[in-house]
Amino acid sequence: MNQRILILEQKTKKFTEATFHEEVSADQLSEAEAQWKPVRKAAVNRMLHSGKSPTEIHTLFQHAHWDWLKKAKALQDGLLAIKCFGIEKAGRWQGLMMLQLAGYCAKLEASRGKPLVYIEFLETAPWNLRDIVDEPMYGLVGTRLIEAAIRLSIIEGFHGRVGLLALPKAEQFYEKRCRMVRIEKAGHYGMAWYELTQEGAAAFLKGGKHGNTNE
Amino acid sequence: MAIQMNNDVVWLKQMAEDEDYGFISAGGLYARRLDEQQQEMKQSNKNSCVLGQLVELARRRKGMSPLDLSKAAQVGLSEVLEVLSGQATEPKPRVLFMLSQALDLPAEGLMELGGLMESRDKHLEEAVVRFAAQSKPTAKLSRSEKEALEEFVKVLARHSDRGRCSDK
Repeated sequence: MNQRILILEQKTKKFTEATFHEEVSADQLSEAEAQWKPVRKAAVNRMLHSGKSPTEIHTLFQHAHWDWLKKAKALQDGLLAIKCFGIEKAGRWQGLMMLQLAGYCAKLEASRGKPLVYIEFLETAPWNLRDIVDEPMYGLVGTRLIEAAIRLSIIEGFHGRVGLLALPKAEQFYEKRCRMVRIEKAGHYGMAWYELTQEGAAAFLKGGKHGNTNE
Repeated sequence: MAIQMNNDVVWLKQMAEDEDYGFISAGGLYARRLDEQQQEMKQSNKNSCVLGQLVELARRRKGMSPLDLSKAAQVGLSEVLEVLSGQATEPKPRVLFMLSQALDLPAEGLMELGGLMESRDKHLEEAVVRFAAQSKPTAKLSRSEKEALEEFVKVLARHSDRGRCSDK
């Protein structure tokens, strides 16, 4: 099911309409990869030519290796309880997110063991990132995807609880803007575990000043 | 039930205040797969290296050139060179079998090193590491290499015999 949402156009600093897809197919994931890959490749080449070392590039562009085609396989395999959301604007995929509705529980003491929506993958288009392009195109893409994850969590009866493993350069987004709580010992594979509590989810949806997850 | 997204401009403006167009990537599944792939690749590279060293030393023990070995084993020279250089990460069963016959090496052990058979024994893994550490690709087969080779071949042979018994 698709619906009209607003995202932020960086150039004009105004909100602009986009389409939120509640069901993204494997073919659409492949389409997104085809759109994103040349931009990522060009960015890596540009960085190499500007004298940046491969290590620096890896640090800056740590998700360059992400391949939605591999993720598409999870959808094709019909893995249970997986959902994929996407945001489309001007015929191009601006952001994608894959979610697991089963098999993951809260790790925070207050809600330990209770089910949550687990974000398997979340990614914005490379042309929306300031480290990749000089003039990013659209903002709020990640925010809107997190909003969708929270709303799904509420629909599923998980009270807005969401969990994820964040890549190091993305930690600030989840901590500061999404009001998620970092759990030091729960991370894996060099990624930190972030969790959104019921209260944090309510605060996110309500808006207002950040930094208080127990509003 | 469909998701109802919020398009309230006041809320959006609040959220947009902190928009910095920074990275937002998240997700553990791919990282997990990458981790597994790296582990598999490490194991595969280690074994192909040991396979190469073993075949190289066995070839020199027989006094064969790579071409002689290719002819004796009836295996293409490029395939022989691939095994010898430790780059045969996915060797063909026939290649390993023919090489084992030409070099008097236990076929099953060679198959296991080549990743074509599942390893049944932890001792083989230890022997692989020991052999890899002891043998060096010098021009002449030294005494220690010869001993290392012979010891490893014995382990492979014993291992293969044990494998056969346990199947009965």
